[in-house]
Amino acid sequence: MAVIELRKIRKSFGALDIIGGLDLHIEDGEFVVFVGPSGSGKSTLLRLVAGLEEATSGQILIDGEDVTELGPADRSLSMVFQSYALYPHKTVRANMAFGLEVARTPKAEIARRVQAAAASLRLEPYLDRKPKELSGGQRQRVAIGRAIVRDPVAFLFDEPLIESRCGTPRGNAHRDRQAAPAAESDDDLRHP
Amino acid sequence: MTIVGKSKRSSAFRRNRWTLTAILAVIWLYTALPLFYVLVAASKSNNDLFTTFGLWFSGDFRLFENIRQVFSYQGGIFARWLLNTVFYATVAGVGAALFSTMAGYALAKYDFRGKRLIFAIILGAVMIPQTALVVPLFLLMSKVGMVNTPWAVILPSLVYPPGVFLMRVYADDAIPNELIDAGRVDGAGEFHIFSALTLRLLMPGFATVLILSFVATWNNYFLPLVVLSSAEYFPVTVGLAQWYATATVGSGGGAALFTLVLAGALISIVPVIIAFIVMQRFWQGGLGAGGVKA
Repeated sequence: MAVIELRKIRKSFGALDIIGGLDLHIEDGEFVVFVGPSGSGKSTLLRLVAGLEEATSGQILIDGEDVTELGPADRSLSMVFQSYALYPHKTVRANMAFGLEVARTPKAEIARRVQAAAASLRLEPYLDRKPKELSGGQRQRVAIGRAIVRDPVAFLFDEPLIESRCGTPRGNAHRDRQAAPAAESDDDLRHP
Repeated sequence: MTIVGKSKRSSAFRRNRWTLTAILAVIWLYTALPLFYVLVAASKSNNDLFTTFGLWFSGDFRLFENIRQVFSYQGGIFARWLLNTVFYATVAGVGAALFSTMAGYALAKYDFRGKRLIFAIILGAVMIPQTALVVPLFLLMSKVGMVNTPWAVILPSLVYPPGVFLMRVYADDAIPNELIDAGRVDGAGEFHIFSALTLRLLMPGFATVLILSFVATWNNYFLPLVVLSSAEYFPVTVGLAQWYATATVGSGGGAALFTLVLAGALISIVPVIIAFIVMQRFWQGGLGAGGVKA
């Protein structure tokens, strides 16, 4: 759980200003959606918060702590990518466990959390499959599971839900949305 | 889905197929004939080698006798040469493939100052023939006292510019950027991401560079010829060439070496063929399938 605050965040690629001085305050448990046409900087904004892009200027604070200079590893956020970005050679179980293994979580704890996430996402029968043996919807749930098990302070979704939720071709009914449900407080999702 | 174009029965299709088959047959002959010649010649006695038709066996089949002689001549030094070659080619092949993979991955996936210049220099290095570098390499090696040591062959062979080029192109294609970003959000460091997540996806490219650099070192003749002087360090190429030189200059005793050189050449081909067959299973595409949305 966390409060995310952006102060005068600017991002430009060369001469091109993508984000020009954005102030934003996201409360703990708040659900925020960014909407805009392609190229308006929705993904860039999420990547800035995640620490995958460096801001040209401005500050990013998580729970009052300045994280502007910190890398993605030190921000305790989870991000679900547009393409899901599953690790193709790893099983569903290993995909979800990877972040916890990096953090040197004890093995028993990893198994417990992966099991819990798999149960809430109805992924239990697929834990030993590789991503290529899953349907689109199942892959999406693995990507979400990978975000859940790490128990992050906030979730960043780079429109991974667009395809299966609305069932319409991209760019149609739900054109270009990005959601940043900061400090998702849905407890039965996080601690099932 | 229908494929629009020439049907299998059309005359244009048949003409194309015949032309392609004919071209392939010529290429096949060009590759297979020398191999066949080595096999035939290695099975003859020294006398038959010069008196019978070159592309068919003589009545006297002495292949195994010749192979036995190859391994016993000069106290069995041939086995030593063969092991040297295996050692040089394996170490240099694996090393070159690893360096190429890391360099290609870095050039494909990271932005850093001087990246374009570095890549241009590597491309330029692809165009410089190895042979042109042998003399400067010899001078360098002699400065640091590495002449006539295995390092003199291995160190230069670890640098394989075509491999870097191949791996850059391959990594560009095979690894989605979001996969690396997912690893970063999961908290992994860059080297951990490389070793645990992306190296596996690069394996088909790695295998290709490995076999190319392995064969390049296996076949290398000029570099070891220049930098090595003790027979105990020679690879097969240099050793056989030395026997061959003795055979052409030699009076009487030397002449018997021709069949040994040919049998030795035959033996030295076999491990390369095995390497190709073993590596083949790594040339599988689509390893990354399913990781990201198409």
